[in-house]
Amino acid sequence: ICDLSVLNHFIKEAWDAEAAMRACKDACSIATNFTVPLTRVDFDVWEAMNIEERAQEVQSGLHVLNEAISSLQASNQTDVLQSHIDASISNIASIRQVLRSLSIPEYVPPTSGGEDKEMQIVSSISELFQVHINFL
Amino acid sequence: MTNDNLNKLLVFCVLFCAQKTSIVHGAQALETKVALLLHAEPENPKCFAEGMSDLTCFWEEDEERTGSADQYSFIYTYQNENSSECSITALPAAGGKRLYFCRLSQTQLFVPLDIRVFRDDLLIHNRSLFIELVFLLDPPANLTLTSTGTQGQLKASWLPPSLKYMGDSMMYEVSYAMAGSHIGKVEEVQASSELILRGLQSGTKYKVRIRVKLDGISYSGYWSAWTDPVLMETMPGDLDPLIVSLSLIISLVLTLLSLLVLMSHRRFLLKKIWPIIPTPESKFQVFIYIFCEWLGHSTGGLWLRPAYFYSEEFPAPLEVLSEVSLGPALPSSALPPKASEALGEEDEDEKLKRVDSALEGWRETPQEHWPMDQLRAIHQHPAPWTQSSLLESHDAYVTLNAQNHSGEELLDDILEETLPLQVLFASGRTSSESRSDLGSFQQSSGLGRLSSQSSFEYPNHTWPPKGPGYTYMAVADSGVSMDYSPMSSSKIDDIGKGVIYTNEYKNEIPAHRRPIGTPIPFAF
Repeated sequence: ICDLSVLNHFIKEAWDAEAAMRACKDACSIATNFTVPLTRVDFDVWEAMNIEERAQEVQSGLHVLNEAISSLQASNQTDVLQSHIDASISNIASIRQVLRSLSIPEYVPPTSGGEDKEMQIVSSISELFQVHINFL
Repeated sequence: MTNDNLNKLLVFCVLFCAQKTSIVHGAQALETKVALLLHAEPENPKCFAEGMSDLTCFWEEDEERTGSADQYSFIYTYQNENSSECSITALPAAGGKRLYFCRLSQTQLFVPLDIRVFRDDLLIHNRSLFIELVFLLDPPANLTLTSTGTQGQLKASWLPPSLKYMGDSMMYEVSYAMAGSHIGKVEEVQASSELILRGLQSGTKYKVRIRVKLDGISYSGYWSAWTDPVLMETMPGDLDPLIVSLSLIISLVLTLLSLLVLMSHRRFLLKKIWPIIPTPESKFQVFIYIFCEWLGHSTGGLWLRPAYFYSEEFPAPLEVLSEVSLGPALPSSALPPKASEALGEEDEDEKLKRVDSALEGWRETPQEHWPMDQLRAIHQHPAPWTQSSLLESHDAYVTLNAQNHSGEELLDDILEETLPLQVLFASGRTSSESRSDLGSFQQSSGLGRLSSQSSFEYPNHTWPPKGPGYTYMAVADSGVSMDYSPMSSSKIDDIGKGVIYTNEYKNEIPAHRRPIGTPIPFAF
């Protein structure tokens, strides 16, 4: 179930989305800021975490990212970008399904607090997040 | 105490040596990686990660710009974090240059890292990178080659770098070439620890080496250094083309030699395989000789009794007629009158007596020569024979008269050799002594009578017809060889149902069969 080739496929799609976003540039710029999860991974710290902590971090990150991209979906974007956005959302949903099947507990972070991050450029969302997903 | 001290010293020495060895190896590996990055990475500072939580950065300074390490400062900043500084170490490099190193032992992946290098507060290098994208691993260890059991194949196996979470992201490149050759092939394999090399030549030594790199999806980096080459020979081929061609050439040469030998001994082999079928000529001569001797030495008590008969029926009498001379026709009365009875079938004794009398009669008149017409008279087929060109010769001939007694009997197949040249007769050596022996056999098998006649050879080599019903063959004996003329019949009509075949007694296989009758050998 946890097939890394599938995950690699998601990552590749995120790369494509980011490339498309970057090419879009001016037309795709967004004024508001998005809250996205932090993607940094310190392996020494990660090794020290238990499964629950890890699950919590992953699940919250997925949640936040999903919301950010969904909000982006609402705004008017070109068809190309829209397809990328839709693909990203579906991928996130798939990842959540994988985690569910692995009995990894879901976690919804509280509204306030936590690790907030501002998004500067739309194009970098996909990249950052996919980098984060590597450690499922 | 002394022993304890010595033991501690020994342990310390061992550990120091081991560490020194590893340090030496580490230094060599570092030197290799530095060389690789200097070639592969254009940006400065050049950074690479060897493991999950380390980062090594370095830059190179020319001789004229080199200074102490204190002049430089290495500032790095993770995204959304405060800056930190890395301590710098300097190492000498080739060509008078210097290398300045910075090593981080705790890193964050998947976040942008901003690096700034200052020399005397002057920014000389600035770079932003993701650490997970600058991996430079050690080459795979324990590269071994084994045979797969199939021709033209080798199996390469190795130990992947021991990095957690990254085993599935590793990509390997296997380079193999024939030992001594610089032209080789390369094969890539992903996330595996072995590879089967196919399409190799049999019985050849191959040189194989491998290097590793992260695949670039989650992690990325540079190609590692090649491992030391490993040599291995493939399985020998079953059918080496060289051996096959050599075997063919050798077999061809042997075949040619045997053919040459056969050709050189062709005649000998022909004699062995197809032996010459003997002709009865020699036997004829023997019999003739014996008969002559017998005639010459025996006086009375001639006992011509056939030893046995091929046929169990009537024995054939021997009519001995004198040779024909050039003289006038002799009175036929000189002939044994009983010879005329040879036509009929008689008992054995009577026939013998007749023969005796014939021989005696002949004895009495050694000089008499009976012409051919007398012969005819004997056979009650009078026919003038004016062409009795009797010559003094040593010739003798035999006429074999065949008359169909039964008329219906089939002719036996008589081979040339079984002929009654037992009917034979010797020819005279001189004209005066020429005793043309003429004998006739009465074929007891019913095929007819055989009469043998001898005469001189005719200049025209013609054989006058003797009368109907006669099948005769002229035999000319020149003392050296005997010539047998083909058989002819005096009267074809009278042959009746029988068929006359002719034979050629000239050392050849008779084309026809003689219906003379069964041979009757004589015993003397």
